[in-house]
Amino acid sequence: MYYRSLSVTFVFLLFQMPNILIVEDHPVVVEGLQKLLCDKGITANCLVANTVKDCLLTLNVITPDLILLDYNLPDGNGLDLCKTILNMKPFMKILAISSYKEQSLVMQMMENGAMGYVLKNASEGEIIEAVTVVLSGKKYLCEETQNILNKKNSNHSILTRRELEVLKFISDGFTNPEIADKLFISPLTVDSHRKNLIVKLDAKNTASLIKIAFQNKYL
Amino acid sequence: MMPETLVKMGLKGALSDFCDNMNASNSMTVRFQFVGQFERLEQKFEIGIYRIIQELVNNAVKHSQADKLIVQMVQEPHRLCLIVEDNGKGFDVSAIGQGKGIGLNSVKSRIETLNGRIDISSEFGKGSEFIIEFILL
Ligand SMILES: Nc1ncnc2c1ncn2[C@@H]1O[C@H](COP(=O)(O)OP(=O)(O)OP(=O)(O)O)[C@@H](O)[C@H]1O
Ligand SMILES: [Mg+2]
Repeated sequence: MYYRSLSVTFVFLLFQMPNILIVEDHPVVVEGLQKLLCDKGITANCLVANTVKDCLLTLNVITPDLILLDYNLPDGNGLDLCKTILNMKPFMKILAISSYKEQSLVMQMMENGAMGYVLKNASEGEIIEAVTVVLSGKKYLCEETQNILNKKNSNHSILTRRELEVLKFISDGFTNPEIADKLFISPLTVDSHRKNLIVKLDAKNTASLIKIAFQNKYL
Repeated sequence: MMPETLVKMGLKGALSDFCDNMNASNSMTVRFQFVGQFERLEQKFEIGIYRIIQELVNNAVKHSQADKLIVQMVQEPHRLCLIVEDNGKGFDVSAIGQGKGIGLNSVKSRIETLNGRIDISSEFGKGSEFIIEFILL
């Protein structure tokens, strides 16, 4: 009898606990996060996906309450994955957990719909806070990320959807007329985007544009 | 009606205020970003461009069902480029001028008067983009 009620309580607790999907390829980080979330009583229901593909397959069968999303994945990146997930499940709560401190990346991630951004070197307290806040439906940035975003002279602005498309084609070596054909816009417009990108990323020419775009993880 | 900020601060400040207000009064996120080197322009440019952006943003609010709108102004010593991009439902660009509306036609004729260029592209389900460019002499 005692055992029975205990297990009923346990099952009940499991139902109450949020489902969290960790999308991360480093086993050490995964274990650390799982242990932390479990120890602090946030959840015992941690699912893990090591790749973009894994993540999407998992999401086909289950809708977690929260996704912890890494940037570097073996078959893609968290930035694009964030968008893909939200196309599938527009109300998904996504917390980016990353070691990258580039302002542009943090901004793009939030722009792509993540509800929070926390650095991997943040304190345990901050990570737990981030998880709890995002689970409750609010936005969260860890302290260091806030500082990164508040930095003055932030000359990196958000790139528009079209600018990102043009940038991608430029880096693949396509010419203005070719890009124009692909995007159904005029070659003059492609050139406007190219010029804007050069100003926005503070580049001198197309070659340095591509380099800076890579460094800032736009590509 | 000419907004006071346009007279006092020029396009950058006025567009930024306008977008902030639109952002606050609509469910859509309206974001303004300026890049480059700001300089005041001839008044007819400032007024014309302000009106153009107003119409494009109002259109996005009225028709696009987007949740995000970016208004971008890139100014260089001899070039001015404005972009209005939404992530809404898109529309048939070839049908502009066929309905009752006059907004986009007046946008086009304003741009012509100012010797500028506009390219409109739109994709159903993805959004619309208006890109406007002027050579500054
Ligand atoms: N950002 C947009 N997203 C989706 N559809 C748009 C967008 N902008 C314009 N349209 C479509 O193009 C049509 C023409 O726009 P236009 O500004 O000329 O007219 P209007 O806004 O309907 O009326 P008016 O501007 O005269 O008050 C609109 O009715 C709408 O169907
Ligand atoms: Mg209109």
